[in-house]
Amino acid sequence: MDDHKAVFVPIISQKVSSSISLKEMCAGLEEEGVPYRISAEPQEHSSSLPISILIKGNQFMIFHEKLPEGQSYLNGTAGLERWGGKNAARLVKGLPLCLE
Amino acid sequence: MEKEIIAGIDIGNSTTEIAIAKVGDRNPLFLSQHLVSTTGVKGTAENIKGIVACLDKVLEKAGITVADLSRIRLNDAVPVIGDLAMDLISETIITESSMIGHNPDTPGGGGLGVGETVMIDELPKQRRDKDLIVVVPESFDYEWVAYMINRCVKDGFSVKGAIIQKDDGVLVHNRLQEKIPIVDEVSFIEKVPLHKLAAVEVALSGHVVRMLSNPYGLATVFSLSPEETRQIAPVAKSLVGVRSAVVIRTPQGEIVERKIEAGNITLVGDKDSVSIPINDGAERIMQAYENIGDLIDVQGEMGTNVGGMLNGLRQDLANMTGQYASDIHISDMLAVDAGIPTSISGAMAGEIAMEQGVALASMVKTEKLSVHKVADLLQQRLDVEVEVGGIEAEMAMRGALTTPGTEQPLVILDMGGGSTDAAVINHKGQITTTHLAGAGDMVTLIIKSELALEDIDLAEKIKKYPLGKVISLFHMQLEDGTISFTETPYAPETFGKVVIREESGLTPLPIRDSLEKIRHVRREAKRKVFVTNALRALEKVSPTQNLRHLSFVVMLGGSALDFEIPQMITEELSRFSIVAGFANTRGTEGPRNAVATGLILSVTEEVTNG
Repeated sequence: MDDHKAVFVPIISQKVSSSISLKEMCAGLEEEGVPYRISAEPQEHSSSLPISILIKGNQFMIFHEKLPEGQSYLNGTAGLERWGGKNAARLVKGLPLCLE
Repeated sequence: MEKEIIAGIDIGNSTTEIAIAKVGDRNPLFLSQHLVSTTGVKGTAENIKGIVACLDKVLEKAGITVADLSRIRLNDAVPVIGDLAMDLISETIITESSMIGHNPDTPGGGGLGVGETVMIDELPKQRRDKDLIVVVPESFDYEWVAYMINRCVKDGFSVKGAIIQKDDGVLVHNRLQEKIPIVDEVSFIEKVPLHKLAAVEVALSGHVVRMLSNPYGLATVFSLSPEETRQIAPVAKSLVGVRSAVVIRTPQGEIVERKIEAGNITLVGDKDSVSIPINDGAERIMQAYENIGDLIDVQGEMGTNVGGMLNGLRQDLANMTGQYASDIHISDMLAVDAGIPTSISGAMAGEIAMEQGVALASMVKTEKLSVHKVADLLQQRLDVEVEVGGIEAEMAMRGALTTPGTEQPLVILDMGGGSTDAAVINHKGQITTTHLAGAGDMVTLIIKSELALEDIDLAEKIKKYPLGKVISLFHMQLEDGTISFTETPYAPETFGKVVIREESGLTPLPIRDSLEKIRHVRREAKRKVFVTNALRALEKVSPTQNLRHLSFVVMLGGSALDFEIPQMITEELSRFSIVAGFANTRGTEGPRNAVATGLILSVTEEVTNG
């Protein structure tokens, strides 16, 4: 990733269970052509995109900066990582989500 | 004179409306009104269910019981019934090739690749001098696929393109050393024939395929003769406007070409009869209709699409009315051009093509319609005197004249679900009526077909409510281009989608057409049915057949409640200097309840006269 651009989706991973696949989450974002960065702490990044992803245990949550703190817009568990990455990217792009 | 409470009941094709009023004085006091969907075909015993449900509601609103009613008056419903049919007049037949043409959001790469189709895991076994297109079912991981292609290309294989089942196009593409066009999200990948010559084309984002949507492009790619180019032309046609496409040549010994016979439609009138090929389209048919005098019947050529369509219609109407199919004579017909979604033979991603079709609404007179039978049944059921009131048009006219700002002479245009009826009352109080085929149900059918919707209820909603497009979690674009904001985020199901804006909430549409396209389809369907029928109806009831001699037109019925149909008609009729607008029955009810109100008013006049 290009470090000079602040256009990316932050993926914050904390105490991630081995059952959840970070790789699949990233594949979902990459397929949609949306950049991302992985870190352990939220404050490390300042992205110009309103979407961020938090992975904790075997769950993930997708946040929008305009929603009240702690309220996720989408969430899922292990097995849905590709779906999560893809829809996080589509939220950025303003495209209809794939919810099936 | 003692006051009595009377219920006026109007059984229409699609709705049953009731008004109740206290009469006895010069001015009846209306207590309440209600409407429900008509149960069954109007004029049959099944109507009772709807009437009773509606009556319960209207009595509850007025705070009285059935026992308080002294009389019930039913309208003498017009004995006409309408039906709808729709069929293709053209069809794309694809021979000697299979194709995929679709718009995955994220195909990989760009450009055109031509080669022989091979399964990804068989790639190393191919000859190095051949151009190849790899086929990748969902069991293969994108990293492995990219690795495999990179390794084989390095070994001297010529890989020109890829067809992938999963949504992995960009992932594979990003990992390739030599870039190729990749079509992904091909759901029926098992249908892709192997070891056949195929062309894969992906357009850059915001563009559409150019080579494969051009017949000569296909001829160039596959080295086709003029005759073969003619055969493959429908493939090019069905790929117009897509972002990615695959065409695979599958030469077979025998070509089975099925041509559709759309056939001729014959309009039999009292002055003349004409036969027109249905291929000429709705406009020509309706023009011919104007020149044959009063319609006596419509026939379709046997063994053709139109023949089948009219037979089906006749059978439907026969079943509804309990008459023999041979006794059904079509007294009015409206033809409207409409696109019909048709699955393409040889398609592999479940593609559909919009083919030309025609929708026909028709109207027949029926002898068996018996409001008197309904009246008897209702009387037994409720133990209240039930009488059949005056002629429907007369009742509607009385009701319509309670609209502020109206006077005789007046034209009423009753736009319902099944038919468009018109009546004119002159200075002397004489009434002329006409009943035309085609109304709200036809609009719904056209919307359903042109947008390729599976659900008729959804088409009905599109007809009734305005659209919006959710463009972020918190704002939505409206039809006029303005933006509306919300404090609570829109549901994930609606994000990025075109939605129907009902009062109760948003319904996302399962189609990818733009808001502008859907709005256009909706408005055109309404215009083709209602503006056409308004003009036809007014010509028929105008004493001089000249619209300029009419001055006041009042619109009634369910479709007059529509948020845009009355305006379309007001606009169109203003060209003839006609004042047209929707009714406001009793100054409060809008375009509803005119017949039920008229049924009660006619009693008052009997009372005051007697």
